[in-house]
Amino acid sequence: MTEITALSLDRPLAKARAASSTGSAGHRYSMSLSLLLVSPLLILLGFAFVYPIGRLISQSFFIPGFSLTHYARLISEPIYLRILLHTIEIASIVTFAALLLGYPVAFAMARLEGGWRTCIAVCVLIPLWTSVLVRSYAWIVLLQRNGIINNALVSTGIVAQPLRLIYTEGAVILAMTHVLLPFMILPIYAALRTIPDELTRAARNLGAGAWTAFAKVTLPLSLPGAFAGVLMTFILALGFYVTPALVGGPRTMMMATLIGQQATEILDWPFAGALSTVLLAATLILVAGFRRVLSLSGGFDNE
Amino acid sequence: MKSACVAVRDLSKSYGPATAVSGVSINVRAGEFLSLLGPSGSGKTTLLMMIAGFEAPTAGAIHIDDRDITELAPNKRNIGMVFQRYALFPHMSVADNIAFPLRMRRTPKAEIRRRVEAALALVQLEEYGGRLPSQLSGGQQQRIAVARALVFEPPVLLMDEPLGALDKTLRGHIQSEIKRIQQRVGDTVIYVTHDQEEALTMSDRVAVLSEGRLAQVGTPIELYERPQTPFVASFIGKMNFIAGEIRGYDGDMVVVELPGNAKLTVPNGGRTCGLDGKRAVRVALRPERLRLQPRGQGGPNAIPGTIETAIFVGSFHLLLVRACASATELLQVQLPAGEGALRFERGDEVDVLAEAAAIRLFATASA
Repeated sequence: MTEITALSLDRPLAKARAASSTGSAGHRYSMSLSLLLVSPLLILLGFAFVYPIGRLISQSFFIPGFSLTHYARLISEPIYLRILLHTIEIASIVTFAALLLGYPVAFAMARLEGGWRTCIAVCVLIPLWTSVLVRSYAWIVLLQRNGIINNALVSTGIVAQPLRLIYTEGAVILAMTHVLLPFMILPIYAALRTIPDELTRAARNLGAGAWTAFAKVTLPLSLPGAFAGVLMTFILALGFYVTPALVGGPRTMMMATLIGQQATEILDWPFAGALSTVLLAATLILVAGFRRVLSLSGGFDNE
Repeated sequence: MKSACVAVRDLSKSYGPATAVSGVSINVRAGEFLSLLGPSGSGKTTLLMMIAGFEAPTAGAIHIDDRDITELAPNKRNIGMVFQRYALFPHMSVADNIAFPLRMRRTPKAEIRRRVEAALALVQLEEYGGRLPSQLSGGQQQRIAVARALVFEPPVLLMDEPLGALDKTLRGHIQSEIKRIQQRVGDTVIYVTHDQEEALTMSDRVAVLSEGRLAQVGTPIELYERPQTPFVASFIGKMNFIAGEIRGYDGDMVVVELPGNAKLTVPNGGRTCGLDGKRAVRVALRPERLRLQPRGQGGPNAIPGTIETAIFVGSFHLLLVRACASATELLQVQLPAGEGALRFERGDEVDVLAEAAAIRLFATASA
């Protein structure tokens, strides 16, 4: 993700920084010392990340004995591919909704000063620091049959019967968008903050109205941040577990929930491994495709 | 290109209790190069931002020719502006940057191409249209910024410390370049700088600002020869100040006594500022208008002193002289270099001679 967020928006500045740092860049750590310094992290990653994933993937191929039966089952029973497509669809909707809602918030945060900015930042960050579990339960409190929203609707007479709000696809999308919003807002905010005020002023001075200045200058320059946010939100949404499991119903099954079910309830680890491998592959393919499209459209630094 | 005059009337800007600009009035003539000069915090940039329309004045009015632009949106003012950090759009090519103001004005395509080429030629960067701003050096970027600000032929060009980010040798080069372009297109230019040398060399007139107020407007020579306030006197060029007391008037002359019993006789006409019968004064002496003689050979208007330090600067010798009585302040004396060795050295007892016509008196502040 670093190459996305660290895009040099202000290249003259970046260049000046690079030029000024060449003097001190002569001091480098030797190869062996570098390895020594990163080795604790490498060991941790190896044991806690590469090994379990490798084991899961290998289980999906080699238990019992080498075969592609688990993958064959995944393809032959349409429910699983449907869940995969459904997951991608929900992740896309959530990402799109988060972009639409998050951009204005990031923009306000970047433009406002002092107290107001702190206020928005707190509103963005406190949910981020709150457990996903708590936030998902909060949505249950709001959406359930005799929850706050239904009670309000019934008591004001807008509806006669409580609406079915919880355990629907809408609830999943709503709650996931809310939970993932900070991951959209923060990179966009970071990108917007690096755009000097002078650029907008220059656009206004040269004859652009406020909207044109935004469309021609601010928006294009903030796109790398928006792309980073979209990518992050989309990847997280694809593998999201807690929220869909809590506020979603049986008809809104997503991949992560399905994998959890296979692993913890049915205890079919090889099949869970196959599902995980497919989800991982789908995520990588989508991300790679996404990046390719963006780099073609000039969203990434293509110097 | 038709240039316009800019009239700023009683312009003020406050941010809450803090006043950035208070009651400034300046008339900039059509085709004039006027610098707003002042230290940081003097309000010069705020003044420029109000003319450009980025800050709304708290009081006062701004006119371009007969048009009141005080309330006008910045994009409707038709004023060119060159920003301190160039403010080129990093995602657009150099040519697109220059074409931007023309596109905003819905200029026909062929016309845009022609004028972009002309603008690039004006700043002598014809070959660079296809590059991104980041592929140019700082000086080149600044010239592109000038081209972009001029391509839509605004009658007025504002420049906000445009050379602040450039190194000193490049700055001199771009200064003459800007001057050349201004003389060619004949624009009215309002140029903000904190560099008094830059202001003096480039401007037709300079407006000196101090703490949000206009201290003095005048040609560089006027400011140098006849500063109206001690601030202008010290800000433009170098200046020695000595505390003195008026002892009496002798016809057109004022007799000032300095500590250590030295007496200066100064012509009164137009040489004194705001004395109004006050006795305590500050005597202002330009270092380059002072001469040295061995002690006792000074004659009238001599200030006795001892040479503390003699520094060879290259084009001149700088001598720091401790006037006998006023022990705290050293007088700077500049003597032209060249003709052989300096006749004076450290520790010499001398008389500092002040040309009567070059001495200025200011009332001591709040005394």
